[in-house]
Amino acid sequence: MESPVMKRLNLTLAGLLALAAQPLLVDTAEAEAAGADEVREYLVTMARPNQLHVIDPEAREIVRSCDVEGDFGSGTLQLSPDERTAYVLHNRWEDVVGIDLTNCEEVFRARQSTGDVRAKALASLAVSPDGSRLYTVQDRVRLHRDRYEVLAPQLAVYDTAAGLDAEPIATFPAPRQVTTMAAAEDGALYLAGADIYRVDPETGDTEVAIANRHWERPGFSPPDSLAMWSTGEVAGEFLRPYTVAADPGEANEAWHWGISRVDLASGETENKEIAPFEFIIFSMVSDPRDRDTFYGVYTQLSKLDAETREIVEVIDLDHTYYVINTSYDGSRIYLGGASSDIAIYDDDFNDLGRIELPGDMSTATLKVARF
Amino acid sequence: MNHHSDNNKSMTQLGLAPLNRKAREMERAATPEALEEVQAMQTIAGCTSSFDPGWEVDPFGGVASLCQPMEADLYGCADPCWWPAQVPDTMNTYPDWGQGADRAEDDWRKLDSVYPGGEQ
Repeated sequence: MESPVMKRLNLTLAGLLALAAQPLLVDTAEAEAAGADEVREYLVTMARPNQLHVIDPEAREIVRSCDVEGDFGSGTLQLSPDERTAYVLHNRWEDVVGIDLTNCEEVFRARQSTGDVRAKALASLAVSPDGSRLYTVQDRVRLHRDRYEVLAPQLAVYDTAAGLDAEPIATFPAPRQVTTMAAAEDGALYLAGADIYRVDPETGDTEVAIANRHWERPGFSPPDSLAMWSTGEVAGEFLRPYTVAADPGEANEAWHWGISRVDLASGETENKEIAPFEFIIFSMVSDPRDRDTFYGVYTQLSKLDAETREIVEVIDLDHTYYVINTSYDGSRIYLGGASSDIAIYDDDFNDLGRIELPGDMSTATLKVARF
Repeated sequence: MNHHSDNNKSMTQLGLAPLNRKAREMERAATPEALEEVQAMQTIAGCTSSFDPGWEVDPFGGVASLCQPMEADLYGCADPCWWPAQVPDTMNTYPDWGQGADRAEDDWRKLDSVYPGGEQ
């Protein structure tokens, strides 16, 4: 909504200095009026040293860069339901900071470490569907003078209205080794750890929603998975890809990509193989128009068809990207993380350009926001 | 990454012979059930907990599937304390390692070696 104004201001300052202030003000007011109802799609990501960037993917330019106090890391992002506030895991994986994407104002901060207890969340961040609660899973260590004492991990619940010195309003025991998490529309929390867990954030009650490490699938190896990027907001899914061997150790051993997925609208879960394992994929999303078409990224960008279990298309990229997302209409694919440029492709993998950032995105999430 | 079928074997069965007292104790203590907790890259969990192949070899035994170029992967390995033997961990131990080198592709010359205890 504000970017047309900004563009007009830039144009005015760059080339139209001869114009008086009055036309500028009129232009700005007109732009604001015209843009008031226009919802635009932005990319949101974190980059070193400590900046949250709001990016216009159509213009391929940074609209706004917000300095976030503290050091980079992990850059894991979740959005408020109105998509105007981004919550970022920051300050070496310890603080959660809420930033208003429309004006860079810091509206929330929770410092998870307290006293001699160092608490970090390994990309574990989620926001309730009504936006009132923020969840983390804290991996905690008590720093004694002569030793470290590993404490049990815990699920921490915050009130997003608590301001800049937020404390947990509740904590519950949490499974070990949890990384990504998401909140479903019914309020249930899903945690990706050894298995995919479903947690009631009111009571802390935890159950296995999708068995991964503890699945019982004769003829299959245990799955292997990496879950560090909290995407899935476009298709309304919580997705974790895995690799698995069918008939491990046998002559006909065959390796596959598979997915564990929770439909965040219905709560429906699924776990299935979708394509042969021929190259690495670090993160995956489904096409918002077709739940059985998946896009994956690493040093290749790939399209996988879960119905035919085939690799539909794969192209080599100019460097490794960690995180993938798509536009809400499914026509564009966004690649980020790792290095310092965001790549945009269409759904036929035609290269639509790059957006250069001043710092590396490293482990940061690449989110798609509309406001 | 492709050693799942070995999960239930003891270290001796895997061809690893204990050489000292501590290693022998570990061999005795490591039940198959305990070994189940050790999974290659099942999920990441900070320092030295991932057993996936490092910067030397990819999961297919080659090098074509390593991150390319390595500069793109530098902070992705340093920030989560993924391979602290190869890259200093900025999460806890060397928090300022990347200071002033925001784009590794351009700034890698500014990234120095680190030494135990901080001695240069």
